Amino acid sequence: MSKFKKIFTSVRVILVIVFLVLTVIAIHPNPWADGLAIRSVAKNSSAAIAGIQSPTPTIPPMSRERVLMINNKPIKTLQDYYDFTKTLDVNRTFTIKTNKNIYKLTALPEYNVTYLNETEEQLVTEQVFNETLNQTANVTKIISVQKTEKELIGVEDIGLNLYPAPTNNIRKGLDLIGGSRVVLEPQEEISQQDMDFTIDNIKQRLNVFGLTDIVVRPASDLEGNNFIIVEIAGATKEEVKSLLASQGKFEAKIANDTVFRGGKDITYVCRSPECSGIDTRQGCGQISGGSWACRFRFSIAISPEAAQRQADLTEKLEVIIEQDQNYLSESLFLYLDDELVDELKIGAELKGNPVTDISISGSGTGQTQQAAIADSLKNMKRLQTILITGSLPVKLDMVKVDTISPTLGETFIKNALLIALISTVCVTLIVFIRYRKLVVSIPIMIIMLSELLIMLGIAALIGWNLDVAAIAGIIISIGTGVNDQIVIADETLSGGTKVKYTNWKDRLGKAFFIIFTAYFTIVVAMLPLWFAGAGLLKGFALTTILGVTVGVLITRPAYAKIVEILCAKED
Amino acid sequence: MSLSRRERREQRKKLLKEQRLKQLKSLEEQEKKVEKKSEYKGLLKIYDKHYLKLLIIPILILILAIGAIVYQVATTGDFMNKGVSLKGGMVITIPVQNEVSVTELEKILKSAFPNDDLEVRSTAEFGVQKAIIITTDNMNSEKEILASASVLIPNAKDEASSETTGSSLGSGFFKQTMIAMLIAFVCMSLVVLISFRTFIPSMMVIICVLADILETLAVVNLLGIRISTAGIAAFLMLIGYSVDTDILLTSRVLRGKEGTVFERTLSAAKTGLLMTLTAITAVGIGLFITSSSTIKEIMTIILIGLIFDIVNTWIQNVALLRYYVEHMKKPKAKEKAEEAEPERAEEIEEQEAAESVQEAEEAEDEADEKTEESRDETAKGD
Repeated sequence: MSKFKKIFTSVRVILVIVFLVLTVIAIHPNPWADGLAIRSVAKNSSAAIAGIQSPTPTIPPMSRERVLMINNKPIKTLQDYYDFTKTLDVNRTFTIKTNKNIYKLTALPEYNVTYLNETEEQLVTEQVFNETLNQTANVTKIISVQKTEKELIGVEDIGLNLYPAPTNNIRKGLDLIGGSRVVLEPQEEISQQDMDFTIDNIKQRLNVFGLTDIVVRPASDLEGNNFIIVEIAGATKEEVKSLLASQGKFEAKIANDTVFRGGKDITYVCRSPECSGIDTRQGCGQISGGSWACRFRFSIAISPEAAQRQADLTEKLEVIIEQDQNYLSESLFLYLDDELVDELKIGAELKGNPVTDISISGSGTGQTQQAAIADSLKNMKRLQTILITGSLPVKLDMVKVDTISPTLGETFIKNALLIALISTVCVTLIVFIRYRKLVVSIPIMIIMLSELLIMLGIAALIGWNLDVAAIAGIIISIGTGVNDQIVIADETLSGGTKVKYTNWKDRLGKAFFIIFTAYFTIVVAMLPLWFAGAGLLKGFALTTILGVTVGVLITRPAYAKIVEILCAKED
Repeated sequence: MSLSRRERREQRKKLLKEQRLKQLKSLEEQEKKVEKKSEYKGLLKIYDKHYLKLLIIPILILILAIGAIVYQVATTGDFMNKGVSLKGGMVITIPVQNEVSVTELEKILKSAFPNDDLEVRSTAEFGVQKAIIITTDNMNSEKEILASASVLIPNAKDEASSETTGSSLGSGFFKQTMIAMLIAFVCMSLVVLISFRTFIPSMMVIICVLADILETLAVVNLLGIRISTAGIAAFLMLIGYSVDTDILLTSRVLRGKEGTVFERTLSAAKTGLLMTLTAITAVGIGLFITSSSTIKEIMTIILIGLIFDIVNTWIQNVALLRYYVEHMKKPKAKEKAEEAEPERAEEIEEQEAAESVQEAEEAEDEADEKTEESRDETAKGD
C-alpha cells in the first residue's frame, strides 16, 4: 500500500492528475446533453424575429444555445424537429424552449411569386437626400412595379439551422463536420492593413449574404505569400464561392469617366421588394435558343459628390431621340471587376441634373422563365452585396476549393476512437509480453490515455479545430510517447540487474538524454511545416509538437516515477 | 581465522592491487570478453562476427532505391508521384454503401472525359470498400463527373466531397514542403550533432535517416501512391521516428559503460525493436481500420519507413558504429588510457599508504574482519 501512497504523493504524478482534471473542465463532457444545438439563425426568419440569436462561431460548443422543447414536447433528434415542422400551419404560434430562454414564434407563410407581364402602381415612401436643405426628407411617390401573383405554397422555414447537441467542447474540423474551405490568394502584394480590411470585408459580405457560421483567417507561407482562408460549415451554395473570389470593384462610367464606385460613393442600396426585383418594364423574355432572360433592377442612392460628378458629365452630352424617347448621346456603363454588367440609357431629363437616386439593373438567364427569374435574383443579390460592402483592395484568386460532405467525417470519428482503443490495448499487450510485468505495461496504457486526454483538453481550451491531420498528429505523438516510455522502462529494468552502483537517477538521466534528443529532433522537424503551405499543415505540426511536449514535460516524468516506485524493492 | 594479522593485511593488499589492475585494464578486457563470449549461436553469431559483411544488405537496398528513384526521374521527370494537393487538380471522394467496380467506373469516366488525366481508386476500412476516389487534372468537371458517376453511385451528387487545388498553389505547396523538408533535415542533423558532440557517429545517424527516406520514397513510387501534402508530413514524421532508434543505439553504445560493444548493441536492439514493433502495430491498426485516404497515406509511408529503419539502424548503423568504436576510436582511447595510467598508479600508492596507516590504528581483530568482509562484497559487486 505504501507504494500507492508514494505514487500519489509524487509531484510528477500529481501534476498529471492536475492536468487531467483541467482537461475534464476544458472538455466539459456531458454525454447526457440533449436537444439540438443552434448552428445559425437565418435572417428575417420567424426564429430571428422571435429573438433567437445566431451564435458567434468562436464560442465553445458546449456554450451554444440548445433547443430542448417545442410546444412542451421534447425535441431530441433532428427527425423530431422535422416531424414538428411538417405539422406547422401558417400563422400558428408555437413556443421553443431552449436551455437559455423560451421564445414565442409565429410560422410565416411562404409564397410562390409569379411575375406577370403587367404593372401596377404603388405608393412608396422613400428617404431622399435634399441637397438644398442638406438633410434627408421622406418623399412619397407613386412607382409602377411589376404585378405579381402570390400563391401560398406552405410555411416558410423557421430559420433554425440545428445539429445534434454536442456532448463535449472539442471542436471538430471542417473535414469532419462537412463544409467548404476556400483559399484565396491576392494577385499582388498587399499591406497588413489592406489584408485586415479584405478579411473584414469578406466576413461582412458573407454576413450580408446570411451566413454566420464562418471563419475567415489570414495565412502565409515560407515565401511570404499571403492567403486568406475561408471556412464555411455546412452545405454551401455555389454563389457564395463566386462572391468570395470577386473583387467587387464596381464602377459606373459615362464615356470612360467614372461617375461613382461601389462602397463609398453609394449611400444606400435598396433590398426591399418595393424598389428591387425583376424589372417592371422589360421583365422576362425568350431569347435565341429557347432559353429565357430576365432583367432585374434595384435603386440605390449615391453621395452628393457623385451626383454632382454625374451632372457635370451629362451636361456636355447631346439629347437624341430613340423610339419616341429622349435619351442622352452616351450611356451609363456599369462595370463589375472590369467586366461590363449593363448599359443604361440616360433619360434626357437627367442632363446636368445632380440626382442621387439611381436605378441599377442587370440580367439573368435560364432554361425556363422561372429559372431565369431565379438566376436574375441571384445575380441581383450578389451585386447588392458587393455594392453594400464595397470593393476589395486587390483581386483575389481562388486557389483552392474544398467541399467536404459530412458523411465521411462521421465514420472517421468513430474509427479514430476505435484505432486509439485497439492500438492502446495492443501496445500494452506487446510491452507486457516483452517485460512480463504488469507494473510496466499497465502504467504505459494509463499514460497513453492520459496523454490523449490532455491533448484533447488543450485543443478544447484553445479552441483548436480537430481535423483529420490533427488526429494523425495525435496518433503519431502518442506513438513516440510509447517509444520514450519503453526507453524509460528498459533503462530502469535491464540496467538494474547488472550494475549496482548506477542509481535510479543515473539510469533515468540516460533515458531522458535519449528522450530529449528525440524530442528536439521531432520538434525541429515539425516547425518548418508550421509555416509552409498556406498554413494548411499547421494543424498537423501544432498537434504533433503539442503532443510530444505534453509527453516530455508532463506524462513521461510521471511514468518514470511510477515505474521507479513500483519496481523498487521494498526496504 | 588462523592467519595472522600481517598475513591478512598482505592478502588484502594483494586483493586491492588486483582489483585496481582489473579496473585499469577494463578496456582491453571488455574486448577480450567478446572472444570469450563466442557462445552466440546462429543468427546472433553472424550478427556478432560478420557485421561488416552484413553491411552489404543495407548498401544493396540503398543502391536499388536510388536506382528506382533515378528511373522514376528518367521516365516521369519527377522523383515522386505528386498528388493533387502538390500539382493542382481535383479529387472527388464519394462514399459508397455497396461495392462499386473501380475499373468499370474508370472506363465510364475515361470515355466521358477522353482528354483528362483521370484516375479512380477506392478506399476501404476493415477491407470493405467505403469510398471511391476520383482524381483528375480538369478542375472544372466536378458536376459532369458526378453526373457520369451517378450511373453507378446514385447518391454521388449529394454526398461527394471535392478538393480542388490550383496548379500554381499546388506547385507552391510542393516547393514549400520541400523547403520544409530540407530545413527539418538540417535542423535534425544539428540537434543530433549538438547532442552527441562527436562528428562521425552523428553523421551515421543522419545517413541512416537519409537512407530511410530515400528507400521509403522508392517503395512509395513503386506502389504508385500519389504523395499529397499529408504524405510529405508523413516523411517528416519518419525523420522523427527513425532518429528515435538511432539515438537509442548511439547513446547506449557510446555512453554506456557496461558490457562489450556488442552486448550494448544487443540491449539497445531489444529496446529499439520493441519500440519499432509497437509503432508498426499501432500504424498497422490505423491503416487497416481507417477509410480516410489522408490517414492511410500517412500510415503507409510511416509503415514502410519503419520497416526500412529496422535494416538501416540495426544492420547498417550498428556495423558502422561498431567499426568506429573498435577501429577508429580505440587508438584515441588507448592514448588517453596511457596518459591516465601514471596518475592512477600514484593514486593507488597514496591510497595504500593511507590504508596502511588506518590499519595500524586498528586495534581489534573483529573490526578488521568486518571491513574486510564489506570490501570483499564490493569486490564481488564490481
